[in-house]
Amino acid sequence: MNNSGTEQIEPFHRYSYFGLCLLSRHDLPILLPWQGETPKDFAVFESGDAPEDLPEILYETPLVQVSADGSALFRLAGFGRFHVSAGRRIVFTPQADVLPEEIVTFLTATVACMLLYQRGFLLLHASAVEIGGRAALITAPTGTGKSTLAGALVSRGYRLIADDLAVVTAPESDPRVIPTSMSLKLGPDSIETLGFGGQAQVLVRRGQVKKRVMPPDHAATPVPVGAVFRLSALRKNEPIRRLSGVECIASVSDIIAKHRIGKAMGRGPALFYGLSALAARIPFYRLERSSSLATLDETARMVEDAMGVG
Amino acid sequence: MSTYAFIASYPKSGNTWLRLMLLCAQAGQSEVDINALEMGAPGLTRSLFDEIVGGDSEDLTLDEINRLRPFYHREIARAAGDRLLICRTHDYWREIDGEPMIPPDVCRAVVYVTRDPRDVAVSLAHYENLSIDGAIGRMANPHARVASRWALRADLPQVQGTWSQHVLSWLETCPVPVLHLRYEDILAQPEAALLRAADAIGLPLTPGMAAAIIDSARIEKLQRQEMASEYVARPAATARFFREGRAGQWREVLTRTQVARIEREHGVAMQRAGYA
Repeated sequence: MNNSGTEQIEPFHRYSYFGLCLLSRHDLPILLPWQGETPKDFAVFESGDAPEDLPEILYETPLVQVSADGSALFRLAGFGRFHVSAGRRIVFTPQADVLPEEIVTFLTATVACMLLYQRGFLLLHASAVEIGGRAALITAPTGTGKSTLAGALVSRGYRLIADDLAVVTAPESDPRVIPTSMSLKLGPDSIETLGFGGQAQVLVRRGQVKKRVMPPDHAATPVPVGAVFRLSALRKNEPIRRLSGVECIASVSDIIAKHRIGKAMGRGPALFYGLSALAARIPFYRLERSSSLATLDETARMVEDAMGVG
Repeated sequence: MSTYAFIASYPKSGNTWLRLMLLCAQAGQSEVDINALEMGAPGLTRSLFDEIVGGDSEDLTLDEINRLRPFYHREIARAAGDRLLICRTHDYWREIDGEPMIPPDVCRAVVYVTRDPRDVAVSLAHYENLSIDGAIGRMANPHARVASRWALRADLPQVQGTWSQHVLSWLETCPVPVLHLRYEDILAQPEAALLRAADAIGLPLTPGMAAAIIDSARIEKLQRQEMASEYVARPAATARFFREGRAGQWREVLTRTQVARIEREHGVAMQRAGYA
């Protein structure tokens, strides 16, 4: 601000960030622009001086701190640290020359979980695709192939809703998945097999083998949940099985995103009840992952069948 | 008592076979079920790592992951309490920033399994779909990893180093008590080996039970199980995980030049491990 009375304000970029409007002075790749007016309830991303440590730490790992006041820190030595507070402010302090794509990688992972848990959302470690007007949520431990299966469904013409982190609203009354991810993080074999080889690939992290591809179309509004598919690497010669009762929500940390962070923020019971409510309303399946990329289509077809399509 | 008993080895050295038998003994059952046992043992998986450190390993560099290993192992040990965790590693023993990657204070023992590197070369070539020379090259590569594209798999990346580095690091520099078993000895006298391993890690095991487990873990039976069920640990590209299960095949397969190369590159470690 200068004294002549006219303010020099840099224009903010506005992004769609997990259903929220995120204002940022920095140009951020991957995130879609926010359409329409800036809502009263927005979030802000800026560089600045994030604290190195938080007061009154309730939960801590070398990467994460959660304070009794609900604020959180994600810090990666040699990269930088993100301070997340009040579900609306993210301050980033770089510790090295980092690429905007890499900032977005963390911004859309643990940092997003922190901010969204501060707002009390139900977060699933899942990819989601819109099939027949309903969301198919695919959840699995990392390395099992969620994104690849989501990619196979996208190749069959369905729209992507979310990749790796799915926000589910109103699980106890009208569960819907918020459109949050326009990109799929895939390895080179998957990219090739799924026919995304010709598309632009965006860096996730320097030196890392996975890249982001952007399917041409994606869901625009929240999609009602149709089914949850728990993808499993353990082969029991049982391609797909409907789960019932506690089976649906067994190994809660496999299905809830960054569960320990949510618990540290006091969301534990709400997450459990939210997931249980979801399991009471919609079908959960155990789905065996395909043994190779060659048989991926079969698995995709089973998802379509279960969703009542195809 | 400390939590971890590591079954450490360079890849394709009989680690899985011994570990399956020990897990069987721990479960108090005499029938080896390759899939159930593999999935039941929490090891170096990325999902557990991610949960414990609060990040996504697929977005981290190898160095960043390695620096988090001591914390990861300590947290698992803390949660496990007195429970024995029989865990496999193909890492070579090393320190990161002056700290052992696997904290010795949470490790009760290590069983280190070696196999004649000449046979390892043959087995590695089959498993990784390499030429013999490619496999030998890999064994001499100080940067060799269990999976170069580890972010696409469920396991944490493990760095093997060269075969020599691997052997010498565990046998010479590991501060935790190490029982050295040779694959060839396990093949020749399996009961004795299994009983020694169980004893080293504080796992009660009777000779009768050991005999029953060894019988159910015969290579033909493991191969049948593997064919019947699509064994989880097997990379898609290879024919079989449980392939031959015998010693000395190198004499039929390696050329004299190849043998000489291995013996030249790994002479000291071969002597230390009893292969020269």
